[in-house]
Amino acid sequence: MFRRILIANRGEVAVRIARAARELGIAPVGVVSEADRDASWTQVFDQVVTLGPASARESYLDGARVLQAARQTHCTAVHPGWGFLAEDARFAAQARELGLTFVGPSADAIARMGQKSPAKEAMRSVGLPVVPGSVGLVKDIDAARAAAAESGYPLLLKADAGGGGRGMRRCDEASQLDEAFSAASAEAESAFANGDLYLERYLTGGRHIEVQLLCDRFGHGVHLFERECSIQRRHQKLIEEAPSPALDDAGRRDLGRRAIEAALALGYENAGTIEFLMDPTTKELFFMEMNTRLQVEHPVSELVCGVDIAAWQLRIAANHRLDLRQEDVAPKGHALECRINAEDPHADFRPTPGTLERFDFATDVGPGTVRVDTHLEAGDTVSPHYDSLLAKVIVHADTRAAAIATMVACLEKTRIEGVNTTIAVHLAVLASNEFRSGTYDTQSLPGWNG
Amino acid sequence: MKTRRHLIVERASEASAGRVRLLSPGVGWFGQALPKGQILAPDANAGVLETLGNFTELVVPPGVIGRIANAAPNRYLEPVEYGQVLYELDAFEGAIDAEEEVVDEIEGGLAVRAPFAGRFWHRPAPGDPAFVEAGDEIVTGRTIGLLEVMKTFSHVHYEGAGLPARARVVRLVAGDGDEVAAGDPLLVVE
Repeated sequence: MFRRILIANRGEVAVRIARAARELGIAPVGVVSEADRDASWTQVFDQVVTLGPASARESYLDGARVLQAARQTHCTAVHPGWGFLAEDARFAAQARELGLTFVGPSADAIARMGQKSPAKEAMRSVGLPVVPGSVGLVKDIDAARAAAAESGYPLLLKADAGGGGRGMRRCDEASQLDEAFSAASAEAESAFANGDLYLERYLTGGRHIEVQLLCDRFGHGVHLFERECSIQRRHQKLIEEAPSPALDDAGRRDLGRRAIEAALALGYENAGTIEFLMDPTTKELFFMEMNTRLQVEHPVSELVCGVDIAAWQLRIAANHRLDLRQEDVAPKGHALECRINAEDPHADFRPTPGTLERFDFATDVGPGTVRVDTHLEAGDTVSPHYDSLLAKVIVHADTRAAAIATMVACLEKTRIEGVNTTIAVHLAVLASNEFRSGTYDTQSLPGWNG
Repeated sequence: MKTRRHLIVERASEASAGRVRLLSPGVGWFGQALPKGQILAPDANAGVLETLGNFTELVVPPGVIGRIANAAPNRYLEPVEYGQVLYELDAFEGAIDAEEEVVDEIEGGLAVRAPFAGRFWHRPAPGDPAFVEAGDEIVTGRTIGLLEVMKTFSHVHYEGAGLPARARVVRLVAGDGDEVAAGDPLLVVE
C-alpha cells in the first residue's frame, strides 16, 4: 500500500479521500490555492502545498504544479477526486510517466470516455443501447443543423469534455439552435478549455439512472447496483437515491450486469459509473456517458451496499484484488442524498458565498441513520471562487418511506446561518407527491416553483 | 527552453518587520539562490524554479531594490510552494517607492458598481463584441457585462441609485476578466 498520497482536489472530496487514506494507513498530502490556504479542512492533511492563486487554472487545474507538488512531498500516488483534473487523460498519463500511481482508470479509458461520441461508439460496440444523435462531434453550426435534422427536436447540445451540466443547452426548435450552439460552446470552452460539442435527442421527462462499478486490475469487477439522480435543476443533481424507484429487482440486476459486462469488455479498471437515461414512454435505458472517477453521490451506494468505494479505489490502484463477489453484494434498505449548496433558491439559485455563523446538522434523528459529508464547520468562509457545495446529507433506512422521513427530520432541524442554502428546496421536493410516489423525472423539480 | 517570470512582491509590513519580500510564483525546486548581502534590482535574475523539468528564471520585478537579508537555502534545490518567501530585502539607498498605483476610479463621472463579487466579463463570449464601449449611449436595464461566480454567469444591468436613466459611457474601469468585489466600480458614465 502507498505511504503517502497526494490528493489533487479541494473541499469535501479532498476530505473524503483523506479519510479513506487514513483508514488504510496512508498519509494524505493536500494541495491548495491561495484562497484555501487557511481553510480549516486543510488540517486533515499531513502536509499541504500551495499551488497558486485562487484562479483554478493556476492552481487546481494546473497539472504540472500538482504533479511537482507530489514529487517534492515524496508521494507515490495521486488521487484526483472529482472535477478539476479527475477526467484529464493527459494528467493521468503524465502522472504515470513520472512514476506516480494515478488512482483511477488508464489514460486511454479516460480519453475515450471523456469524449462523449467515441464513448457512445465504444459502448454501442459492447452491446449497450445509445440515444439517437450526432455521429461524432458537431464542429460548427452547419454540422449542428445537419445533426439536428437527424435527431429531431427537442435536442441537447453537450460539451464533449463536459460534466456537471456545464456547456449543456436544451434546444426545442430550429430557431434556437444558433444561440444555443454558441452559448454551449463558449461555456464549454470556459469550463473545460475545450469547446467541442455533440448533440443528441432530448428525451423529455426521462430518468437519470446510473450504475456504480468497481473493477480491479486483474479483470474482475462488480456492480454496486444503481443510483437514481433524476432530481436535477439545470442538469445539476440535487437529490440522489438508491435503489431507483423506477426499477424492479429483476430490472436492476439486469442493468447492473449489462453495465459491468460492458466495462470489463472495455478493460476498465478502478471505480466508474455508467449513466443511463430511461425513456419515459418505452422505459428503455440508453447509455448516456461514463464517469471515469469517484462521483459526488457515491455515498448512497456505499450505504446500501456496505462497501467503501473510496477505500477500494486506493486498494485497486495499489494492485489489490477486489475480493468482492457479485453474489455477495446485495442492496439493503434505502439511501438518499441531498446536496446542500450555498445558493439562494429565491434568487435563481445564485451562489451566496459568506461566513458560516452556524453550521449544525441534526444527525440524531430517526428512524434511519444520518451521515454528513462536509469539509466545513461554523466560522468557516464559503469562498466565491469554487463550487457552492456546503455538505451532503446522506440517510439510510430500511425502507424508502423511512429514509424520506429521516431526511426530512434531519433537514428540518438543521441550522445553517450566514449563507443562504438550498435546504428549503430539498424539503419541498421531499414533501411532493411526485417524489413520495417515486414518479418524478429530470424535467422539473417537484414541489418547487421558485 | 527557459521562461522568465517575475517574483511576487509582498510590500513591507509589520509582519515582515518592514522588509519587502519576494515570493515564489510557482511550485517547484528553487535553485541558484543568491546569497545574503547581494543587492537585487529590477530585471535581475534571482534564481531558477524547476517544475517537472521545466526551468523558469525568476526575475526581480520593476520597482524593487534592496539588499538580501536572509541566508540562501542550504540545499542546492529547495522544494518551495507558491507564495513561499524566497528573499527578504533590506531597504537600500535609492530604493524606489513602488506603491503608487492607486487612481481615483470615479474620476470623470459617475460610477456604475458591481452588484456582487465575481469575475467581470466585457463580452458574451471570447471574440464577440463588448456589451458596451466608451462613448456608447446606455439606458437603464442595458446589459453592461457578465459577472461570473462559481462558473455561473449573470448579466449586469445598467442601474443604480443616483444614476441617470440615460448616460454615456466614459470608460470601463474593470478589465475584461477582472475579479471585482461588491461595490467596485465597473464603468464610469456621464
